[in-house]
Amino acid sequence: MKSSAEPLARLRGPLLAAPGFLLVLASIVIPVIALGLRTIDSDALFGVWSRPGIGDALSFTLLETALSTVVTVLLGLAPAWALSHHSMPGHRSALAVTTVPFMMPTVVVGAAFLGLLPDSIERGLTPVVIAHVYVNVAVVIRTIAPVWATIDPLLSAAARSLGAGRVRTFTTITLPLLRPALTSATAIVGFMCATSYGVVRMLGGNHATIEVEVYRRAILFDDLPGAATLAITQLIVAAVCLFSWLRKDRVVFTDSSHRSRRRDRPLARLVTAITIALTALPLISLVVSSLRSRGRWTLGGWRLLFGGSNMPGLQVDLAHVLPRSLLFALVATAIAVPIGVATSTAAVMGRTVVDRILLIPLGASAVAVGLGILITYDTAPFDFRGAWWLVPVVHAVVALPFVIRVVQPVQARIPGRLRSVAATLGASPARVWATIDVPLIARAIRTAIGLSIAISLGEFGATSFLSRSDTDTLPIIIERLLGRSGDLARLTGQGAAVVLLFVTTFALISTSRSDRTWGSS
Amino acid sequence: MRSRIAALSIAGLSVATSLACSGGSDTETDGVTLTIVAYESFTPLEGIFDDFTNDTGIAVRVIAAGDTGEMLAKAALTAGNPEGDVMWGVDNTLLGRAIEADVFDPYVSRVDGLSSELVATAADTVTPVDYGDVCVNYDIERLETLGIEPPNSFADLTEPEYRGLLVTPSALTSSTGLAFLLGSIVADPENWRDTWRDLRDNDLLVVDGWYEAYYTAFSRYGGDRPLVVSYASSPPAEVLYADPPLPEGAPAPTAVVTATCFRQIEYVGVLRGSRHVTEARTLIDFLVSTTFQETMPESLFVFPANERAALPRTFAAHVQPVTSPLVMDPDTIASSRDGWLEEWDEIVG
Amino acid sequence: MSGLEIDGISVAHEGRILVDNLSFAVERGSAVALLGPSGIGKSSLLRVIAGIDRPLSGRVTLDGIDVTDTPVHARRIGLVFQDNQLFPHLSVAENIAYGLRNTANRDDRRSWRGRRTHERVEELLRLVGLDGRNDDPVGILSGGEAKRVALARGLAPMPAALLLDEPLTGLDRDLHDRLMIDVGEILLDSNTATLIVTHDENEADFLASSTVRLG
Repeated sequence: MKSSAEPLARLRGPLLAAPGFLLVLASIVIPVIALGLRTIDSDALFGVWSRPGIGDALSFTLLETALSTVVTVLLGLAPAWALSHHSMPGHRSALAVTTVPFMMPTVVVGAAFLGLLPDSIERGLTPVVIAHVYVNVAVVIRTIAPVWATIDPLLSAAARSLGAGRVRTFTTITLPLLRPALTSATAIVGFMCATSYGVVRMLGGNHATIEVEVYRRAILFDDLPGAATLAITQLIVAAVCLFSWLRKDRVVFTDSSHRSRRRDRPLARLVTAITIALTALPLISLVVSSLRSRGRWTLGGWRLLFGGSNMPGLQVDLAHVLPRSLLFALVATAIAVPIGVATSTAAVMGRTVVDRILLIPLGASAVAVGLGILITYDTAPFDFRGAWWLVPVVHAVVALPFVIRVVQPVQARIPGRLRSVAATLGASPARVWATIDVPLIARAIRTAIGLSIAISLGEFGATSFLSRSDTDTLPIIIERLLGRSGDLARLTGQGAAVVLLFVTTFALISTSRSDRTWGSS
Repeated sequence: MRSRIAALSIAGLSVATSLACSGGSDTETDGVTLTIVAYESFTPLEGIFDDFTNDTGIAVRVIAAGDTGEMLAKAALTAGNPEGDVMWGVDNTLLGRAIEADVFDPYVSRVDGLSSELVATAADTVTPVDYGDVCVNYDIERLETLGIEPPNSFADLTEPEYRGLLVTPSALTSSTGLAFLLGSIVADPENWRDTWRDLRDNDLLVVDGWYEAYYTAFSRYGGDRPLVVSYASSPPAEVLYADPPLPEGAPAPTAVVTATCFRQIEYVGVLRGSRHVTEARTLIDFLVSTTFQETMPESLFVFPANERAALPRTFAAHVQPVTSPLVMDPDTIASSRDGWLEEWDEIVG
Repeated sequence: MSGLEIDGISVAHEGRILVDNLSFAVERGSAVALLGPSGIGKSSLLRVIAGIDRPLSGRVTLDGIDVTDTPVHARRIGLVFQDNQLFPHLSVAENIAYGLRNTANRDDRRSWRGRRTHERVEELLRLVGLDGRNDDPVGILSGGEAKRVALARGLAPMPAALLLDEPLTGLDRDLHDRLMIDVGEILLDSNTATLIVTHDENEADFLASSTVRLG
């Protein structure tokens, strides 16, 4: 046990880690294994690899993941730097706006994005990588900017006064301090790109990822054994990746009391402006598109959305769907955030395995999980099929890795001696946690709340694959409307997407309000 | 709550069966809740089941189980211990697979007016409930601007005149795309591969799903392709949903190439393992009755399987009759589908 | 005996034995200096005495009671780190008041929250010469001021023993001398057994009545 975490070590670590662990076990690992046990035979186990398309899917998955991840992380560093180093009013809102594409269903954002790509870019690797950067750059900004903001500028200044050049200062001072956050960001972006589904289907042309191939085998080719083999392999590879990252990141603390006031740098302003413009353009085009038909402005779609439509086939009951979506988001958040914070605390206590195990949902195939849940929980009293609460629970599982990756790096940066001092002043482990950890991670927790609300609001893949009764969420409604022909079908569908866009943006902005906590100025 | 419903259902069932033997009245099934497992876009007219519930005492709830393919994959996996009692919407491209997976408890409704032609495709296992046609749609105005006559056949589409004009969803990922492929096979069983090679060489655009084809590539929605693979019901939808509304009596802005229409037939069936088989059959009879069937065109954009059901006015006015659609029987599809898809992928991919 | 007794303590850090079978005592109201070159294990020893780390062997006794197995928060041994470790999210007064709320029992806690806390904080602020700085965020304090706050925070709950790790290191000459006098006076006023880690003989002579040498 690390001595520096001693006061918290007296909390019951296994007990803290258990809820998250069990949730992931019950919702991901057991269902996928159950599906495998039910379907896989030796023929599939060895035969699937030689089936047409698998070789291409494997190499395409590796290639696009490597490219997308490297480009996303490198490009994300610029806005992360800008947003952590200047004090332009509203820069927290800017941070929120850049996150919106990550939260929106692929069909909405992907289509808006597709419309802005020059026709000369053929479907294939290039647009897939560009779309992945567009969607995932928020992960890099979100994970790195808060940590970068707490790195003492005096430290860099000191290094430079000792003769280190800018590049050397960056590589020897800043980069090592950023490393835990960088690892985090790279891992998440890597997982997102490796298991990418919607983007690859829409923009990949005839290329597929393993995730898409799992879907094809399970749904189109009636090859469940093959699909399950691929899904389990994917899960194992994900687990191996997680455990190979077990090497503990050195946590470096910089004393926040030495932080100087930030200057408003023109370059930071410019980078932020460019980032926001690039992020917002497709979103704005979506808003405009929902208001235009046949070369004219129209409120037709909006009228149907808010006036209670009696147009056959386009019945949208926003007054029901929106509160339901919000309720699910709140339930999902009420599950994901406490579990995430407990897991983060357990991780800070030295159980670093835990927080990485909980990244596993990122590496699981939604189709395999959906089918697995169906056959795992099919017998009374554990027949959960069609239960409404499956939807928010699944949303919570999807949000959990993000909650942890937002909270954990911040909590890991709290110096152990701060807790030791609190303990010598008579604070019990629980009180140390409540009076030291919680206030210092309060902002991260609020960010996590915003993220998990937004993730739940925009979740489509897992939701649509679950069997549900009377649980239509906004993205489901959008997909359904955009599956019909006609102006009003398109207008109401895009209008509903704009509603989702606004609600998501509001959730993100309202939870990123600045305040007086550690790491903010 | 769930267990209470289950308990009520079991009680209801025992009462129902005991009374059924003695030829009881309609109220004997009070308290039973039937679950319809349906595809995502099953949006029946609101309140349509109210009268049914009032008449029979059977409540109805709907589970959305993903798209048709997903729904069937789930049904196959849970065959014998189903998620619900009735399945809505498995179509002729997937029926063979469903029968092979032993998903259904055979029942064919004998409601008056049900098209015998459609019933003949149902392998005595399920009941046809609706049909629709997947056809090449064209943007009338754009073709006029280009000075090009609408195509009349698959063969026309391979002509240089139509180079770079057609977009289709992929047969691998979209049921619409698959139907279009099957149509081309029915139209020319010997040479369909050549047709597709020619289509490919004629700059055919293949996209992932119907949405991308219709709303991003089709010229009516800002794309540059005036020909798109969609449905025979799309033109009436373009009228019904036009914004701004079209003048009274104006023709639909799009039309279909009837020679390319492949008939998709959807079925309803009792899921094997349902504990309410009798009630499920009653519900299926209701689904193919004129009461329900007449609401389908406008709420689901499909055509009624019951020939006595009248079409709504907008629909009747703007639907081009497809007199000789391309039809393929479910068994053939089930046995050859995967092979065809691989060949198609080879040619187009 | 009242005060802090160290009996045959051995301390290891990362597998290396730093302190071997050390014994000494500090009486209440007096101060002992722990002298030795850096890296010899002085800080590690303080952590062990405070209860943050466990000793290899030996006992720690406080006012005649063996506290070797008592958890940190129940020991009533204060510790002031060399770099202060002020709570960055709390103001000066809140930092000082932190220990008051923890040590009081449930009934007392309520009263500490009110006037008594306020009075004790005021008293300590005067003692360390920072009157009126109650609401300052700790981020704006100078090095010397931060040190004073850390000291006041350590003294606030009236610990039976107080451990100071290099309390005057890193301050400029002027500030060092002034603060040394202040610390001496503050310690005289308290009825605490104080153990001061330092590598400066002058400091040891000035602040402590006796000296323990390591290494």
